[in-house]
Amino acid sequence: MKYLGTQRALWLAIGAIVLIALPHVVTSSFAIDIFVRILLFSFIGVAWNLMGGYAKQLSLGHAAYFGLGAYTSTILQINYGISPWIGMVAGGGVAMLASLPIGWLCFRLRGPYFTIATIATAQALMLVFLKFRDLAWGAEGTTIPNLGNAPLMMQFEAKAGYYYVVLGSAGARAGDYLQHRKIPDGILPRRDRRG
Amino acid sequence: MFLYAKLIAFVVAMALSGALWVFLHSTDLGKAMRAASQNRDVASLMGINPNRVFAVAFGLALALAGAAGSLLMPFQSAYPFVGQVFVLMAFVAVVLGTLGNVIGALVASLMMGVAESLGIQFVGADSGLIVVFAMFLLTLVFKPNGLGGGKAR
Repeated sequence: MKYLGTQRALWLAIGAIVLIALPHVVTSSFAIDIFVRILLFSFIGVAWNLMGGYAKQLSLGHAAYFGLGAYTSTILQINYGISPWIGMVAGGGVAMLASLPIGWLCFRLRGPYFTIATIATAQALMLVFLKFRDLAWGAEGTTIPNLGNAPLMMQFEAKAGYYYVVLGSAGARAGDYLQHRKIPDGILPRRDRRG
Repeated sequence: MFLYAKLIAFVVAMALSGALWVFLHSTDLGKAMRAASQNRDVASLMGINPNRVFAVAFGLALALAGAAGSLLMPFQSAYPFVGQVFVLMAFVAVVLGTLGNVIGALVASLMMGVAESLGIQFVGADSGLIVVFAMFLLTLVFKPNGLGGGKAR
């Protein structure tokens, strides 16, 4: 945080307090639902920005990794009874592992070739999930069982619980961003670096 | 059952592709279009108005898409999302055959059609497209600029 001036730090603190207090001030569950969505979309937006903004790679295949994470935590919970708190991390790991071969393939390509290759991998993955019903419930999908109020399984009676989960994730990401505000070295694929 | 509509669609599509190729390669406007897509600045130095050329290209492309849609209708049902799967397939075909290469796109479409049929026959009734995408990705591993392009630039 050494990059921050005092005024900036003050505004950040005010912003953080407002965000934390928000579900206690606006208690309508409809409004909280919208806040959850806003934070979720901002989180996904940050994820995409890393790729499309900093690294300048127009990838339209992010849906595949979103889906892989969702399926990982769902399968872990339903088939193995593992809490989504662990599934959350495992989902990220699975998406990262899946991105290794896909990235190896796609980063050889440029411009529209790269973009369409990312769409193709996402489509192929979607079709695999549609076809192999034993893998993950096929086209109709599934819903995780409602456990009532079970914070250890990431289920809350009050909507505010979900709000704090997403706020925590998005906040962690924002803190990470503030610490290294420069574009990380070496984020550009080798083929696009100058010199 | 033999569908004459499919035969007509095939013949008209081939004729339109041929006409497009002739247009792009032997008329002044077509040549201007290819020049503007290769290098916009140099093309405008040669007296080509890139904006006008791109407008014509856009209109022409949409006219061809409309023609494709009307050719498909005798054996497809019409519904609001009918274009989606074809748009993705068209994008894949154009990229597979190298952007801006009419012949490449034709060859690529043929490959995709054969791959889809083989997939339906040998992998499963609903896996045609998986085979198409796998074929597409594998081709790009070896030809990063599509079938019509040389080595990676």
